[in-house]
Amino acid sequence: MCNARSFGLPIATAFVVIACLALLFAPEEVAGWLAFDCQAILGGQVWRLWTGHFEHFSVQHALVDTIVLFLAGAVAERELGTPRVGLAFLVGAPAISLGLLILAPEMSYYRGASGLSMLAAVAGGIALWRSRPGLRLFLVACGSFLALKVLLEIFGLSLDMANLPKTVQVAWQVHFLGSALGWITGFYGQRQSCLELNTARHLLPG
Amino acid sequence: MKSIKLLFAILVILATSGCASWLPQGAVKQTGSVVDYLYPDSKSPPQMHETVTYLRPPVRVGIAFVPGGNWSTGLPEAEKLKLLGRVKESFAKYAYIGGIEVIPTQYLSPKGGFANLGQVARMFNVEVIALLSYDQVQFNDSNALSLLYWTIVGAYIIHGDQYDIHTMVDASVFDVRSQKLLFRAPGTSEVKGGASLSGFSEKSRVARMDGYNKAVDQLIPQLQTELESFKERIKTDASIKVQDKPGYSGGGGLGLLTLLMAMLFAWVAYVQRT
Repeated sequence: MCNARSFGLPIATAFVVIACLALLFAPEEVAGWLAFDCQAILGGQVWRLWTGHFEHFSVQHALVDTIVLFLAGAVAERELGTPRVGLAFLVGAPAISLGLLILAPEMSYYRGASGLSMLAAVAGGIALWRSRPGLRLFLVACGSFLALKVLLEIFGLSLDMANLPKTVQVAWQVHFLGSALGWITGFYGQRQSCLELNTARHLLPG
Repeated sequence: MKSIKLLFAILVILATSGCASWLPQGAVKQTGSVVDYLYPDSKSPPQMHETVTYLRPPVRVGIAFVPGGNWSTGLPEAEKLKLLGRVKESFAKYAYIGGIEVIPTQYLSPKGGFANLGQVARMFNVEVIALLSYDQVQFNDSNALSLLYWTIVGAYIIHGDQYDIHTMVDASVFDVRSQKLLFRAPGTSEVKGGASLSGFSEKSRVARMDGYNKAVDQLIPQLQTELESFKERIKTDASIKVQDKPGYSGGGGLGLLTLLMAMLFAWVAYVQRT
């Protein structure tokens, strides 16, 4: 079992949160250049695969997404380390966007950091499952909530009121993909982390 | 002297009978039928086509009164738009309704059929149209007090005439492309009152308007109930399918419940560390 890391500043998560909040005050033209736009991505504007997650439809939408991301990301970074979570965000963001192109080809536009929030939450949850057996019942409840949320969204229902404009639909595909990538990150990230820690312990004198 | 009395009696009878004949007795009817509008001069029932209706939320909805025969003498267009505005407001909260367009009756031609409905839908860029048909019957009767109208002053102060107005407004919601009736809901009202001869016209006009307002008051909750049951029916009805609109926008929406869960998650993780 690994030792707990300290609750320092979650740098990787903070970077994503600051980017989201900064773009909230950016002019709409900037948002137009950064948001996930299916046709623009297929036309070669690949940066949108990353930046689409930083854009939001409203202040409320951005605030809820970024607070959840910060809280979940802080736990994930403490358990898995900043480099792993940072890498997960760096690889996960375009992976979610590409998945969205495949799973929802008719969705032209997308904005929101909830995919990364789900990634961080599930990664943190998986890591806690392995490092804190006493929390397993609580983690089962949290996981069930997230699973139910995504399941209901697939059927066009909502467990809680999403802060989206009327004309925007909840992209359940993003939540599903974020959760799947979070699972991989939590599982392999923790394993690697423990292996490294145990190796370091053996190498230390005494 | 006897002949003068007889002449006076005849004059009184003629005068009072004249008062009674000033008002239209019996029933006055205003009607606009959705069947007359959509299936004009139809002698045989329309053929059923087994088609699947595709709804692509957020659905753009149009709402209009069907054009009717006697309508020009009834509710003014401005009042109709006010009533439609009230229906529109009560449905603006639904996320799966992208927008509601109030369509003035002038855009619908009497007996226009689905061809006219399709034209209007294209003009206003709507996929579903709620057609409000109406039927209002006003019964006018005189009571015993109307006898006092012969005093002339009585015609201004005595409520010798009565009206009884029955109104029904029915909303039928059609998918324009498949021409299918999705659901419908009625609203009814009854307004009774009395007036003097001189004020009857104005009072009964206000009462007719009141009748429409009350019928719409009853229609709105019924329509909302029907909409909810239609949402449930979609899940089992194979002839209606909900699809994503091509080019729709998606958002990563997390709600307040997820936010609370995240707070609890972070707090538990923090407490466990300490």
